[in-house]
Amino acid sequence: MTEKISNVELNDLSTDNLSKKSVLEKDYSLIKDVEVSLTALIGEAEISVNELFSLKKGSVVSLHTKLNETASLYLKEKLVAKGNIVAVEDSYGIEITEIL
Amino acid sequence: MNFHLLPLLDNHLDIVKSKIASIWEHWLEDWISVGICENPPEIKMELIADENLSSLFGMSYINWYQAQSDEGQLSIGVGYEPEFISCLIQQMTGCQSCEFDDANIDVVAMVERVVDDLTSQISGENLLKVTDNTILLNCIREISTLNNNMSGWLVKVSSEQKTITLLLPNNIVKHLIFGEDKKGRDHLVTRESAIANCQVLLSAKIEGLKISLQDFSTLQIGDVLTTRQKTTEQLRVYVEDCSLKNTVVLGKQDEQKAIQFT
Repeated sequence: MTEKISNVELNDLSTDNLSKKSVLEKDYSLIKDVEVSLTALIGEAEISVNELFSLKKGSVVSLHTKLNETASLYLKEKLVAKGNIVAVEDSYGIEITEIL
Repeated sequence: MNFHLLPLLDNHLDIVKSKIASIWEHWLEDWISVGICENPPEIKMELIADENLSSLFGMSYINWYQAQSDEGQLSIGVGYEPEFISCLIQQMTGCQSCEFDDANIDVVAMVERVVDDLTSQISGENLLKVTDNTILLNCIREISTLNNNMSGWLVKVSSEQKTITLLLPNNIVKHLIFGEDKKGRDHLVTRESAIANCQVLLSAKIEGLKISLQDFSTLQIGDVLTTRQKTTEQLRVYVEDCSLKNTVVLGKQDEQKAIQFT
């Protein structure tokens, strides 16, 4: 194959002729199938750097979370809900107890 | 009491050593009088003339003395028997295993006198660039609490910059920074120990809770979100925002949720 390869020249983009009308109608159904990823924070513990580097395989760190305390559910860094950690068959699940 | 001094390498050290000996005798009397030491142990002063360090300093030789105890190594320009250094360190660090009365012995003043003599006698060599003896004493105190096998070599004290730089064997440079202890007293810590004492947040998370925006917008109490993470699988663990490569399993300890490193 002897195709000719050349650089792509990018033009300057200007917003001088910006339209007042949105390209997309504000219709959430358009993005209803978009999946977002939530993270459940089980618990935290404050330890010193020294303790951190002393951790070994088998080390146990007690979290500042009581057994009956709920986990916090985050969308990105925004706390959106709280819930109990449950097992759904052999997977972890979160049963929502509070929506924020 | 016997002094076993190694041959001197320079005449002015004679003066220093005789001063140290005199202070040391006085010091010993104090220690014996309050029962720290029943019998005066043999005192041995060992001269360390490290050629590598000498070349680093650009000087003909280094006339630091070094002593070692179970607590670690201490280099303050003079060297003593381990038992004495051990006592010294115990007093300096407040270790309770040695009974003594602070009010009766002013060890710090003793050391200060040694340092004064050293600095006045060998200042021409610039072995010690000490701007403030108190700082130096704090530094000595700090060195004595450093890890074992760490011999401290004081090279520069800067009271303006609030730092002390130590040049350790093998060209390791340690920086000490000023701070305050829990009681608000002036305190010196190594950068490493300052970092080591920093508190960080360790957290365990369950990730991969995928949900469509539609389901998310209609989320209700009682709904159960299922993850792809198996209960038999290990969880990711974070230090602040950094994910560790280590993983943990979830468990409990003393009625608290707990994680165990795997």
